[in-house]
Amino acid sequence: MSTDKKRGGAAKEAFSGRTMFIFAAIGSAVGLGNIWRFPYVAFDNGGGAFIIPYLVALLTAGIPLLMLDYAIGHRYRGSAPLSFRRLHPKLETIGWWQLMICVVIAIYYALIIGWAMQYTVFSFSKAWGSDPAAFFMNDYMKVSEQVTIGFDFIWPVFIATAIAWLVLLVVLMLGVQNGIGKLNVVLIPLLVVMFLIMVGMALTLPGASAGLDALFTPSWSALGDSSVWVAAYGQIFFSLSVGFGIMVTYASYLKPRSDLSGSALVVGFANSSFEILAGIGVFAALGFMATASGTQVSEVATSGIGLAFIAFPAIISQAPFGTLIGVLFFGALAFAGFTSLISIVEVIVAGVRDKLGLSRPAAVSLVVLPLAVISLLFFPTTTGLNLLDVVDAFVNNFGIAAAALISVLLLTSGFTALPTLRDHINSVSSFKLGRTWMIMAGGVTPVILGYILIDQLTKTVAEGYNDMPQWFVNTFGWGMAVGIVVIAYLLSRLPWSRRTGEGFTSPAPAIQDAYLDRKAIARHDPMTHYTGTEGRSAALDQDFSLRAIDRGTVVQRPAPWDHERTANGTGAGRVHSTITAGAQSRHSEGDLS
Amino acid sequence: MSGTAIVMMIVAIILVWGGLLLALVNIKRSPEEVDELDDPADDTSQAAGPSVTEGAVGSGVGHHDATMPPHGQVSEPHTDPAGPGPRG
Repeated sequence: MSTDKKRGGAAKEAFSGRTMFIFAAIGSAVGLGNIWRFPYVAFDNGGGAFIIPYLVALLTAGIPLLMLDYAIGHRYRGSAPLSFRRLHPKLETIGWWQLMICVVIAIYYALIIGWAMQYTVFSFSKAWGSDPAAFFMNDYMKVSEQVTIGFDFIWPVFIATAIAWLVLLVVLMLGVQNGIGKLNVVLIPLLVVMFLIMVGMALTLPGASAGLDALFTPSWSALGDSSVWVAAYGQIFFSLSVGFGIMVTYASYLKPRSDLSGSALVVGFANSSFEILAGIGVFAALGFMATASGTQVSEVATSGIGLAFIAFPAIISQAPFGTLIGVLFFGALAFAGFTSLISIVEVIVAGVRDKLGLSRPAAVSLVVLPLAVISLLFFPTTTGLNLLDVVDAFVNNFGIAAAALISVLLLTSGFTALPTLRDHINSVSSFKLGRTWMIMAGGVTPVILGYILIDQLTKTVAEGYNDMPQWFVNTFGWGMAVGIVVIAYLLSRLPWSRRTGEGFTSPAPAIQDAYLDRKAIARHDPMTHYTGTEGRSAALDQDFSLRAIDRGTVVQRPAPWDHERTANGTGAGRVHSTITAGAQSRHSEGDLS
Repeated sequence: MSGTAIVMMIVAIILVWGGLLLALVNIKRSPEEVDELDDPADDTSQAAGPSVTEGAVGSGVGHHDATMPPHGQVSEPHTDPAGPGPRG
């Protein structure tokens, strides 16, 4: 684990390499939504024809946004609040908003992982019996008829959720490399293998072809329906873990010379590849269920909790080798959820760590223990399911979407940061970005996000939410969505740790080579406090890659640590330097002359 | 399973998994560069700036004539708005 013990802040830790980062990013992106949301969204929005808007959404919004998050985290090398703060002090609230979204998601996400863990065990005995719906609602969760907040705990669920928090605590304590990185390197391949076996088994079930037929038969007329395109963009957006600080945080743990755009392409397509795999597995199983019960696939097709904890248990009960299918399915669900939960909580740990200048163990304890208490207090209860329903819907529709929309709008038009971020990506990446990326990230994405947000807003205001009592929706839905913005603003007003504050960059600086940044960081030189904004996009159309520096084709700015030498006269007036990078010496243009 | 559904399934698999394959090929072609600062011990040793082995990098005071860069781009002198002094 690369650790600079002298400095506070999240960026002092690093993944050992690009591969580990990619595994961690895939682990974050591949979550519950890939398994229980994508298959139904695809089926419900044109079937086979859905692949067209889906791919368009991936290429025009998903991957560009992923690259944008990577650029912010890698360029400004901090947690979400610190990175946005370094980009511009006025943007700090955005970082805290994203962090607060992670707080809300984390407290209910652990509950679902607890369920998946228990259902993995239930698969051996098929504990749900002949009526999985009644088992889940009445026997397992004992769902209260009253929509309210209660503290009538369901102890088996409480213990399962507590175990999830405990494992999370241990993993986060181990750090970025030894905890998050190594766990993802093990769990992601295991998840893929488990799911491949599960899909293989599902495909051999009688009626599997009926399920695949329902999923992939195209309804071309759906392509003319704007709601199908919105669904595709929504699926890509919510599935990729973009817009709420996760990718910013993970990218801050990348080494200076890391291929950002190449990594984003791998992560984006890997996430979608898993979704296609999940779609095949889930609909093959649903096809079997429909055939076994003599109904249409459309009548058994569902998503979310209904798919995982009601439909799948029914399939497992009837299918040959059902126990194995159950263990693989719920095990995969638990793994996928857990790797995502780690990334969600790490956003909070990194933010707290940067703000207060804490060590990792202190920050992890300060974050995980209170979160676990809140989670265990409100969710493994007879009223927890209704609370989860409202909180999940509002934090996604009016939290993530709104925060992403406003951050993209501010980065694009408010602070014109896209050219700087694009140049940063190009300085380290194999796949160069141009104006198209800026149009996609800064133009297409806000339009789509704005449409999704307004659409959801008008529907929810007009129709209410799922016939829930208004006070409940107002408190835990709207109240939570607005409350996290207020809390985010207040957090942005609190002072930073002195050590972290030394490294503020404000306003957005001229593009700096990642290598030079790292050197400045190593020397504890603040890279900051440009008094003017004239240098903000000075690097446009220049190749600031290390290769260009190596060839001597770019004029370097002075490295901060060179000042003393210049002042001492050792290099005054010189226009060239040689900087060693490992075994390789890199020459500026001065050496060529 | 209908022929159209089979075709669409194959198209979806080829496009998405093919995209992943191309992305992996792309990233394989740009091997990870090793940075001497990647080693934490090195971090400490570099902190005093010993990697600068010869003189100073051209400062914002002295503009340089850039040679023609690759990719047909024109380099411009890149000055540091804050100057070479300590910032903070």
